[in-house]
Amino acid sequence: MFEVGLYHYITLAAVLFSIGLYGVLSSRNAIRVLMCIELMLNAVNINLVAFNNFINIEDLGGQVFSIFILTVSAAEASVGLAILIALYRSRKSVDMERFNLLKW
Amino acid sequence: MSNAVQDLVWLIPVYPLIAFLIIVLGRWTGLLKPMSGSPFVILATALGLIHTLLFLGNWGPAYTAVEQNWTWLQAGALQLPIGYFIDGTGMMMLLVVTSVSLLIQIYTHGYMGHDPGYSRFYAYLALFNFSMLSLVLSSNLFQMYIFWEMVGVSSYLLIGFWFTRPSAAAAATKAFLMNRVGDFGLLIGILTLLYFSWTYWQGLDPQQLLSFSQMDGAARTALAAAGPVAFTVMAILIFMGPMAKSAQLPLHTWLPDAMEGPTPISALIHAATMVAAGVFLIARMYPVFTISPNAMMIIAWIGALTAFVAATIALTQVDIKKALAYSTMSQLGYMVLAMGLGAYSAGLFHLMTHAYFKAMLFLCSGSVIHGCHEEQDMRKMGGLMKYMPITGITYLIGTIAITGVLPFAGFWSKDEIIASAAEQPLLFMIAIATAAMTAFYMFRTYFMTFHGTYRGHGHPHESPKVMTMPLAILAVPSVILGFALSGFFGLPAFSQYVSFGHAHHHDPNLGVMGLSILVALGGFLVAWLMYGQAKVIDPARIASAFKPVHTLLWNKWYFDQAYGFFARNIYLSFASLSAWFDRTVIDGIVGLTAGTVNASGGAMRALQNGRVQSYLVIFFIAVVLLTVVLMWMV
Amino acid sequence: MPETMAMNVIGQKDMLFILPEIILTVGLLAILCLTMMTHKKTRHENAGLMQVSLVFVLGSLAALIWQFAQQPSMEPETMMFGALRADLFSYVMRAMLLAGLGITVAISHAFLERNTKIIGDFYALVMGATLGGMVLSAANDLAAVFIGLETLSITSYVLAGYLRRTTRSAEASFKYLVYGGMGTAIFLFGLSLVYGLSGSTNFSDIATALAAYQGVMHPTLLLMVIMVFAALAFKLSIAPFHMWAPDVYEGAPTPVSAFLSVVSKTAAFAVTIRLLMVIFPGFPAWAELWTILAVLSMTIGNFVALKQRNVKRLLAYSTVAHAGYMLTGLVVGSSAGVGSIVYYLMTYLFMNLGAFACVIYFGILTGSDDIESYRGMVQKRPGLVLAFSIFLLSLAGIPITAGFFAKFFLFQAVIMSNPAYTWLVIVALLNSTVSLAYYINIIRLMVVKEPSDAVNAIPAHTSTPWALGSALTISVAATLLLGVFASQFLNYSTESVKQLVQERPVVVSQGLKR
Repeated sequence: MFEVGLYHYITLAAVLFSIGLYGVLSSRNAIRVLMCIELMLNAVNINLVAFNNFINIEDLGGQVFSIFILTVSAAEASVGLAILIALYRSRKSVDMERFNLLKW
Repeated sequence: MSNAVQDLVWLIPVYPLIAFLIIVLGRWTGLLKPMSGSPFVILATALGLIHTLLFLGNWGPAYTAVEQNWTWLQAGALQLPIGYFIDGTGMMMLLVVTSVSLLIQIYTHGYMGHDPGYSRFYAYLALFNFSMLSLVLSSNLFQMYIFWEMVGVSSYLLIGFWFTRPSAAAAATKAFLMNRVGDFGLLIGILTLLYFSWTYWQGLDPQQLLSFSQMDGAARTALAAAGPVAFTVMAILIFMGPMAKSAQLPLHTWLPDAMEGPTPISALIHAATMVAAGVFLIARMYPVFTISPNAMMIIAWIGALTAFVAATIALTQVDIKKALAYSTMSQLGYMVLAMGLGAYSAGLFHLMTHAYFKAMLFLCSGSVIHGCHEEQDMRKMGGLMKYMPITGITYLIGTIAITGVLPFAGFWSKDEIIASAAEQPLLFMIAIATAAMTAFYMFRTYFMTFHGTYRGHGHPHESPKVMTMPLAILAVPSVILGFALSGFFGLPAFSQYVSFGHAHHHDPNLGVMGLSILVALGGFLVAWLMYGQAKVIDPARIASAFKPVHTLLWNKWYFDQAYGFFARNIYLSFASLSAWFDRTVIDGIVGLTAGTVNASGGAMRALQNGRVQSYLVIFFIAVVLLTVVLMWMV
Repeated sequence: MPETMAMNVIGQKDMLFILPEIILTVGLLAILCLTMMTHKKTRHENAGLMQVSLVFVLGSLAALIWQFAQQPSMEPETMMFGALRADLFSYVMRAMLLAGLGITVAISHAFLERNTKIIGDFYALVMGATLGGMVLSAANDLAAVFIGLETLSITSYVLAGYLRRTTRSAEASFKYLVYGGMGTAIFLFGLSLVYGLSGSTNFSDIATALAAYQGVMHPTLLLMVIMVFAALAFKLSIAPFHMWAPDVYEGAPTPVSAFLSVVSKTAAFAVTIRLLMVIFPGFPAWAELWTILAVLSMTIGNFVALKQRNVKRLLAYSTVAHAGYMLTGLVVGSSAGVGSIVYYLMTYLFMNLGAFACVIYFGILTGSDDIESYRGMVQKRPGLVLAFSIFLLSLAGIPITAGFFAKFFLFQAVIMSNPAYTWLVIVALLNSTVSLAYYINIIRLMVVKEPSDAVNAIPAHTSTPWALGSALTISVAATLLLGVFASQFLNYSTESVKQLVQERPVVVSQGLKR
């Protein structure tokens, strides 16, 4: 019988993390960048919950931690979108390439 | 009485500090009028001088060193003390600093009398005096380093005093930066010395950490711990401090530029006190240097080369202050040479006599510049003896003193240095050649300035009494100090007061004496032939006959150009390296992973192209690279 | 896990320990309410908001000092179910954060009045950010670290974009958010691996569990540690993770740049030191890791700063360089070395905030942050030029300013702890020699004649706002005196770090032999 073990979860998390990372580095759309950051954070959540389940089931530290991350990432996303709106108002664009006033 | 004078000797630097605070607070609160404040500073310096003299008078027959330490900072096992330490060397410096600065402060009243920054200038003078006197009194190396840097800061303020000229600001910056290069070496040297001699200090009273009185044992412990090679490197690092402060090759280019400052400053800082601090530090750290023959040899050679190179540059200078600046550098080279040769007393004796006659020469030049309506070019002077006799005569005395003619001060001290080089033919030849050139260029400035006919504009006039009186007073030590302390005329010799280890007095080497007088006369003769009344030899023809040499000297051996070239190229290669890195590596990788970054021109800063995603790419690459590199390293 | 399970209720002790945080939180809420109640936003009301914030900050600081004075023996103990740890280190770092916050509040008012209508939110946000930093410096649990870090970060993103109608401010904010978001994600991924290896989020349990891996060199282990510290290095703006800093400092409102460069960095150092000393003391490669980062940071920071024209950008690179100097203390990892970092942070707090205060004041006077526009400033504001010069000389490490003593004690500790790193000290000192060039260039410009047009336009007499003036005075005094009277501060610094090392010898790495 096939069983889903710890390594499967970790691999999933790693893949998810890498996809998120790729998205952050390559997307031209700023909203997509924010979403990809969320993707990376979710990879962490999978990791934490999986570790909690397989390594130390009595102490729920890992799961509690992942709840914290969910909450905080929501806050971060809302702040991110708010800032993006402010930026969009002055630049009329969400293209990452165009946010380069500050340099050198 | 005597006890109070001794116990309160730490007050000597405090007097000027109080004067400084009075001026700063007074000007800040508006209690002090704009053109005032000088009496406080002069009074403070006078108090310092009186205190020093009282101390000397009550010192007792044996002249035993006086030392007192307090704990200042405590950092775990490290306890940094603060205190004072006065021995013959320190006493000599105290006397020189207080007396010269007193006269210069009086002179300044005449020189800067109408400058809008009058009280600010006096405040800086007081701050400088405080730092300098604290440096002299320092009982340990760490304390000395602190005041060493503070002297640099206050001299930065004083050089940069004439802000009207951007060149003054640039000169001050250059002096500061160059001194920092030397101090960098000094600080590393102190830290390594502390490390190597740590076991020795632990066996002592913690209040004596790095104290000069115990440096002997520390040096030997360090030598045993570090081995001769590392020890020599350490000694040279320490020597880098004096190298910059005393304008030794190759860290000397700031001194001539510093002549942008007001002339009293040139006299005080760049002739008598601050530049001498380098030699003083060598004297204080002598236990470290003496047990490393290689370090001593390097010091001697740097001193000799500085003396020689500076003298050659002085041959062609037409700015009277620049000529004196190169002359100072050359004389400092003599002192450093003496220290490197082990002639401790001779080097410091020259320091003392030089302080007086060079301060006087600079003040004379200030008087001349003042009298000629702020003209510094000697080609536009001439015949001034008629208009300003006191300045002229004192300048002549100074010239004779520096040339080393019997019985003036410079003769006794310089002669001892040259005699101590007698065993090393090459150094001896350099020293003698430098002596000849000294006579030539000094008399050249004298003839160009005071003889012939006036070539400038307007009518030159003698300076007011407040300026000429200090000149006359300074002329006294310039004449008598040499033979008074030579050991022949009743008074004990200089080396009885100031010596390293046991005092020993060399019998004068008559052959060397004769030779040095001879070359001095030769130098004088050539100068007279070229620039005196006779004008037998045309200087222009000499210059064109030795065109390449003249060009080399005129451009001061191209030191500034070399530094500029060096600095530019380092920066450029750095920049092009990172431009290449940016073009090939970053663009390549970024192009592969994301395709977001176009080739952006520019140099080093181009990495910072304003796109947050390329920053993140670098973040990511750095994480990966660090992992790989550390994997391979550990 | 005895420590975590010992108590099931939050007792008086716990509440007293977080009393400073509670006061700060109350203050934050009070400011928010007051902002909503004051509609007219007159000068008077705005000044009132600043004063109320200052009262709460000082009250919080007083509570902290009072708490500290209550327990002279200072036995470390865990609080709040093991989430926080009450030790000397937490008190020292929190006191520094609060002092930095107080000065930030005082120096920002004049700037805000000039540039924006809404002032109260700013104070609430900086207080919130400091709150995060305070949790961070007392954290004893990964979750607490995360909460503290994010409280600090998210408020910082908003702060950077406080002048949201200004494109530059908004752009700075967004860049900071994206960079910070990825930093957080990487940090958390590292932490999740730590959790996976140890099965706990509590520091002492993790330390016990990870002790089994001491000396083991495995790529995953290495990647985990580097992920954790890369994210912290981003917060510390250490090269090559510094690239956000110049852009954000330039674009953000100047008080925010001041806050980020000092308070945020202090908090990040607090957590870095704690993680290093408690969780990873025996990790085999960290000396090498910090060595590489230190050298990169010092060199890049100083050399790029040489070419800067904008003073905020210049100070950004200067903070990069300073972080590099401080890392040398982490390299040796001895309590003397790390303790010197804490002392360095104390001096850095005053000199850097002071420098930024001058930049704020100059910005108000000239309307520009270009170094060129400071030309000839000495004729209009000699006192201010003097203060700025003192801060810059202190940053360059010239005696007798505190900056010199900080560098001296740090480098002395490095050489005494491990002489193999003398070369690192030489590199650091060479760098600080280079740094003098750009610091002194500012001073040179300020004192030369021929003032710039901006300086010419400054009216002869305007009174200095009292908050800015007193913050400047305090900073000048601290910069001049912290060094001369260093003993007590140094003592606290080293003692606080000694308590972190829990009966475990610090493994000193062999250094870069090759």
